[in-house]
Amino acid sequence: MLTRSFVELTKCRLREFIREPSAAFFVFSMPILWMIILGLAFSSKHKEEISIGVIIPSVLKESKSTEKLLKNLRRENHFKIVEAPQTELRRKLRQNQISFILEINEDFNLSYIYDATNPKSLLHKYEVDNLIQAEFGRRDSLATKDHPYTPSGSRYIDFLVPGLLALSLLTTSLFGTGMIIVVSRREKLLQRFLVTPMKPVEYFLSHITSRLIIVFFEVLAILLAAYLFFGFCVEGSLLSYFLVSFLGALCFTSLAILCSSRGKNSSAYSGFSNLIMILLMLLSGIWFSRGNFPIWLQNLSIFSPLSALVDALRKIALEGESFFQITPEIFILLAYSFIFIGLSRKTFRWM
Amino acid sequence: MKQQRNEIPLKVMNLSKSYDEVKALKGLNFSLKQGSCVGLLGPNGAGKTTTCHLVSGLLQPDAGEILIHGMSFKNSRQEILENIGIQLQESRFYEKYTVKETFELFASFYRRHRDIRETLSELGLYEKKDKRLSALSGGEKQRVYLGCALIHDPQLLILDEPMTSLDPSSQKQTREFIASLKDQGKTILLCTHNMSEAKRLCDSILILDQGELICQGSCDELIEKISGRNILSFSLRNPEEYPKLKKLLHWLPDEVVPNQELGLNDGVEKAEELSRAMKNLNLEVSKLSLREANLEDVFFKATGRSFHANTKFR
Repeated sequence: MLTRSFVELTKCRLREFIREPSAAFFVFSMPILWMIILGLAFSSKHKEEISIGVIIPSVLKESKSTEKLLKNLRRENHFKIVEAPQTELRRKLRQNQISFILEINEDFNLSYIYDATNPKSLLHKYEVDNLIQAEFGRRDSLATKDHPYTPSGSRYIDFLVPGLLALSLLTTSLFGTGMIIVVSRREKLLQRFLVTPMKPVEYFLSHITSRLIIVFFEVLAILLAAYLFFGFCVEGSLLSYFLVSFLGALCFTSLAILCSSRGKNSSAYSGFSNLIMILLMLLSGIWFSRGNFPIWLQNLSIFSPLSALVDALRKIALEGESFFQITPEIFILLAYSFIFIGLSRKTFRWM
Repeated sequence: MKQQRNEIPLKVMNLSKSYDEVKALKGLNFSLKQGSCVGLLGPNGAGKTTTCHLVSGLLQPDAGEILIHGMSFKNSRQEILENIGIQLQESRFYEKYTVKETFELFASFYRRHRDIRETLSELGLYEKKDKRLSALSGGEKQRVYLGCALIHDPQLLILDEPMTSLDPSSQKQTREFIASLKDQGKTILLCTHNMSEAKRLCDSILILDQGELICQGSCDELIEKISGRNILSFSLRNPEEYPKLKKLLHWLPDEVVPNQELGLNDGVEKAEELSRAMKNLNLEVSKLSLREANLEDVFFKATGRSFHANTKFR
């Protein structure tokens, strides 16, 4: 396998990558940038603000009970009181600008108007109601204590990092490897290679090998940045994490070779790759859990190569599973790699 | 290769190739002698590039056979590719690669290759070895492409339009380099639409038109046999007086056309004869000139069409 031409072709791929600053930027900086932006956006340590729409009849505006109630609500820093006419508050509720409406009637009975389909609306209503009831004399029949803690791997960033890494492997394979092949065909370099004794398999292997070398540094950079910025750690074996990343890169590089097996037009290839990327991304649950999908879509998404990679990486990173515990995902990635390589052999054109 | 050196480097027999409905080649036959430089000439669409692609193994012929040192692509593709040097029209290499890296890459494809430093020096590229291709001039790039075709020291070279898109100075450099290859005894098939380039470099010319070989031979042979060595142009102020001239000079054509051009092997004598006859007959001449014939005249004579009639953007 280690023929001179294979080594030179692999060196060629790596030199191309190193000498193209935009390629290095997309491989290393983009996923880290995404991670920092999303990580900061979804990891606020402050309590979530609860906006409460309050309707007070004019006769109770000056009453002591109303003053007591409002004083108690205002004492909580994360509560925001919004006083407005009912129609205005209903509009705000519809637009999700407030969590619920607290309506006080003339007998000082309280009514809550909330969005029953929004779990947060219900939760916020309970929090406020508990506070008011306690303030107005309700006693709990059982003494209880809260012990909040944050288990490792439960933060959004812990969920996000494996997904971002998988997405980065997909995009850099599709746009790195695939685009190089399309441009080489357009520039008639592939045609020139074909009239040398170079074996075609060496050309494809050089693409895969160079990608795996780049992937090593790509994974290393993302993990290092995730650790430094957010304290992200891989619960399971780092070796397994790298091995799975290599498998993912193998699968996506094979997909890139298949997608670029015919065309000469880089814009058309770019559009086609984007379509594939969006489809795989929608199915994979990179940004949010696939548990929110309808059952049929959940079942379908299991067979997406990106889902398999994301699941495998999350299982190793968050649940500490070993390489052998993620056999189904490994099988899916390997199966796709073989299918893509097999189809590429049939469809690839050098001219 | 030793036992193959005695064989014909390239033999093409009854080669045909069609693209959908278009017949690009119709039963082409030719062969190259060891150490010869043969020009494959023709206007755009004549079938030159198709022939180059077929003899390079890029395309499969619909019919016919190609033997390179007695071997065919069907049975000995790898062996053939180890022994021929090919430069294809419009192939562009990695612009961010240096000259030396490009040579190293191509050298790695072959079992044996020449010393890279020696090749760089021979091509006059040693000083530029660490420059990226993007920083080279058109002529220098062309020499890099030629170098890649020569890196394994092949005895047979197939060069497809090696001087297209080059400025005159780069064309001169490239021409001199190809001439030096010829002096080294390499067998060269030079596909070109440039007649003067073919005349200067080639021992023998094959002229293709619409997929057919219309004539072959050395440049002088073709000119002498087909167009005549000289082209005599003349026109009379009053064409109606032409029959008087024809009566005196039987070698003149029966019909007169404006700016009549005649291809003759004894043009100087005939021009003097014509001039004397016109003087004796008191005919007024609007034009009388004599020039050496070239391959364009051969093409015109053989096809009845101008060589550049089909050629666009040249």
